[in-house]
Amino acid sequence: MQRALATAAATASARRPCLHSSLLRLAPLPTALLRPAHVRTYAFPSSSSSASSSSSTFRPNPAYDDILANPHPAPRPDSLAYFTGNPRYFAAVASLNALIRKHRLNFRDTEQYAHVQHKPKWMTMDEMAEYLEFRLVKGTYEELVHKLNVLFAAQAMDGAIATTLQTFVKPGATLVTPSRPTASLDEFGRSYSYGSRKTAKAQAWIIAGTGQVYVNGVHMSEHFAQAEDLEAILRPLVLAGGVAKYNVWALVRGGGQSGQAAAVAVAVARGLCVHEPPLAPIFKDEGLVVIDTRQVERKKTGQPGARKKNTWYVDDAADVKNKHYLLAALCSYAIASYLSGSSVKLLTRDGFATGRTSHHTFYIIIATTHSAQTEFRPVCKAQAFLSLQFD
Amino acid sequence: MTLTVSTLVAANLHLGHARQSWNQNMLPYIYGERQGIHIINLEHTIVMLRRAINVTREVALRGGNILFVGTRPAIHRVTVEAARHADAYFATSWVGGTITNKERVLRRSVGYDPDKVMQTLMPPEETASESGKSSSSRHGLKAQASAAASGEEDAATGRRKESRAPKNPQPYVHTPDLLIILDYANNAWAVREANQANIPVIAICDTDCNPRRVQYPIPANDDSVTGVELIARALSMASREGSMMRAERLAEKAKEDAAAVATHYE
Repeated sequence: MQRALATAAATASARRPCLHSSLLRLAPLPTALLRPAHVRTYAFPSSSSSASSSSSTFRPNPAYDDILANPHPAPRPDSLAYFTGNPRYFAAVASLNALIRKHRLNFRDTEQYAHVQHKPKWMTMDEMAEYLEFRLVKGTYEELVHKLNVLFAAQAMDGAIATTLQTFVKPGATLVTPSRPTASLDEFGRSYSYGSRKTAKAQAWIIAGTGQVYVNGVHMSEHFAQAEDLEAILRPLVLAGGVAKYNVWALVRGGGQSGQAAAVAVAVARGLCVHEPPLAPIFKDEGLVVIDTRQVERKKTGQPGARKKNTWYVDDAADVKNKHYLLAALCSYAIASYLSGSSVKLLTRDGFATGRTSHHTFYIIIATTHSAQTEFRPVCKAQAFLSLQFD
Repeated sequence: MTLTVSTLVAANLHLGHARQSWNQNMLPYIYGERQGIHIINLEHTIVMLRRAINVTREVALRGGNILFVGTRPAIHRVTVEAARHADAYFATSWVGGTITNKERVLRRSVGYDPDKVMQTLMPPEETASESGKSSSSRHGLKAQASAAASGEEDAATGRRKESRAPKNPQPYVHTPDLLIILDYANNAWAVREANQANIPVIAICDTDCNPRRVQYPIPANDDSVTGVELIARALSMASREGSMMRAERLAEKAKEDAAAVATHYE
């Protein structure tokens, strides 16, 4: 191919265009020579052709002769993304991408903003559709939010990032989320904290002191009888090494002994975190600051308890086994008494383990020799009913 | 930018697809086969690329809308940059109906939703007011009807609505005048719509594409990002040239007109 080009260039004539020419000076292409055979091209007549050309010659519409006329009845669209049907979204994404590219942010993984504590509340998909007029699906929305988070994490680099991100913040929220009010010691150096367990609610005030723990006005050893309860309250103090360093004043209402003890324990742990913030992760791992939300489960109708059920429905296999044992016991008793000389005679219907219907009722017919009466006693389900008639 | 065969080879534009998956209509553009793939004849590519460049420039000169379509994620950036430098338009995902159902598909671009047109219940000779509502305004049916009937100012657009005159408020929705498709294999639907609407299409055709559906095919490798970028840049520069020439000529014409008016009133 290269050699062909060289020879072509060497023998360049007015007809054959040079392939190295720049774009501005392009000679008319000799399409008859270079076009593939199957491509049809129309012959555009030159200006010298007569107006009264035959109908077989194609003439373009004279309306297109005025080059500078606007081909559309409206001015050209402003937005580059006009034909996407989603122009505002693409404009927004373009601005975000430009910022990401400008600062060379690595937006591949979510670890970029994992360290950010308080990410702002971005608009939901529906809010973006309504307020920003985006057309979004879930995947696109998640990618967009990912980019917003990446830029938020890199906010310090550029002031323009904040202004760009402001448009995506949930209406009513701000880019800079106000930090949650953190607990602190009051003017007297006390911390206030709260804990609960089951129905017991506890409040605790902790101040630097000598290790006195008072619950509801009395020392905790007076309030709680069980050693376990006392240990529960002291556990956070022991872990913090502050048994002799703090005084605790706790008020607790509701619940029972161990419920109140656990409530006070949680309150004490939370109060200690205010005095010594480094304790927070340690207590969190131990689970001391989390309130146990389990409550007593209600009893349901038709049952004796929350979970316990009535025993109307006996298991079939056990039922049958029970019936076997029962029937065997009854029959052997009747046989034994008969053999021992009493006047009891055993009359069963068909034999040992029969007389049993599919509904687990069976009949033991025991009749005496002296009495013509026969007693029929149905034995149903768990009940056993034995009737013996003796002389 | 020089368009030479060596430049195109450097951008890997000569590498076609596997021999088995060729489209027989690409036979004229195939140079041969090597290592199981077809090699595209870049002499044809250059010729057809220059033809496409001419077309792009002329369309831009005449004020047409040029639309760059590139759907593959790898060439999204190429497409957008080409459109930006060309003062043209881009589409990184083709929505079906962009041309044939443009009133609905492009309703967000235009700001008019034809499906939400309110028509009053009054007989047509009294008032045939159809209040067009932009998507950002929130007007109920009754509010719109009453507003239209009383001739209030439309809150969204600020135009005073006539209550008696029949209106056709659907604003004009643009169509592209030239479609430049950078990955033809994924956008057969766009080509179909363009053909329905008699819009010329420039497309990069690989050896597995059918060039006959396209008016200005450019036989080249569509998988190489550098190759597609080269072609997109060439077309984008041509479009920019055309629109710059148009701006110059319009300025000249405006000057001439101003001069003519001045001389007329002297």
